[in-house]
Amino acid sequence: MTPFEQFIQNLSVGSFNFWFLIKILFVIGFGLYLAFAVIVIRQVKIMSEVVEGLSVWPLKIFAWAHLAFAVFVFLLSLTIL
Amino acid sequence: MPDIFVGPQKETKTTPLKKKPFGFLSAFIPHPANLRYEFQEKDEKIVLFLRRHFFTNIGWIMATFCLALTPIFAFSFFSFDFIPLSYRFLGVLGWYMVVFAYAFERFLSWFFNVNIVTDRRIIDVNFPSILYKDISEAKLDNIQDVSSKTGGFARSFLNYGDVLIQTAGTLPELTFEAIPLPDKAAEIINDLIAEEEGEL
Repeated sequence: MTPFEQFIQNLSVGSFNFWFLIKILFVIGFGLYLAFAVIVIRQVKIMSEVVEGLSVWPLKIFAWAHLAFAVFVFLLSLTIL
Repeated sequence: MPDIFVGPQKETKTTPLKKKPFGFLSAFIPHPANLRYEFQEKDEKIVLFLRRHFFTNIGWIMATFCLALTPIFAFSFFSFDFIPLSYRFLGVLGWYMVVFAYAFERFLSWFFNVNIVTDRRIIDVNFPSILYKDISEAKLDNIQDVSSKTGGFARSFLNYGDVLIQTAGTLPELTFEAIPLPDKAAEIINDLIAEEEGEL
């Protein structure tokens, strides 16, 4: 067992669980990322309104796919961790 | 004094800018078809549509490539067995999401930070940060001086550079940064100013 593994095991004794803390941090992180993904969609919309006629549909598809993936990862973090 | 010899006059032809369909990643579009900007007036025409040369993206493309390879190297050189598999998996997934976000934001910044020259004014559209837009414009009759600047290996080799536009308005200077064919762009703007002065 490496010193780091020993350290984590020592942290996990009693009522305090190290990995539970990490799980909370992961979920908060992915939740913030989800908010960012929503903002990206709004950003693409605002940007594309300034100049009309540019082919922005690939960017919109990317932005929506990005949001869908962020939702999926957020839900995944709630279930598998 | 009479001329002794008059040689045949050579016609100096400047290549006219034709209307042509533009690609998704075009950075120098003369007379773009079907393109309008937010505050364009009814009888106003876009003469030139510009954005930074695509080569200016090479920095963040390389950085993205390196960041994408980081987990592969990290997992081949270090052991992360002390971390549960689900955490490792989500950690890597999160890493790639952040890398994607970085690359996408940089691309959006390049794609939408544009410069527009119309037959009446010059517009500089900037998105300095997320959800914040900054549009500067100068009317052609307020422009005092237009100059272009090219320097450095990449800029000279790929023929891109800055166009500096001095104005008499509240905004002292507009800069079109790292645009392709800066000499041509400056020439077009100067021609438009000359036409505008001729009309007055």
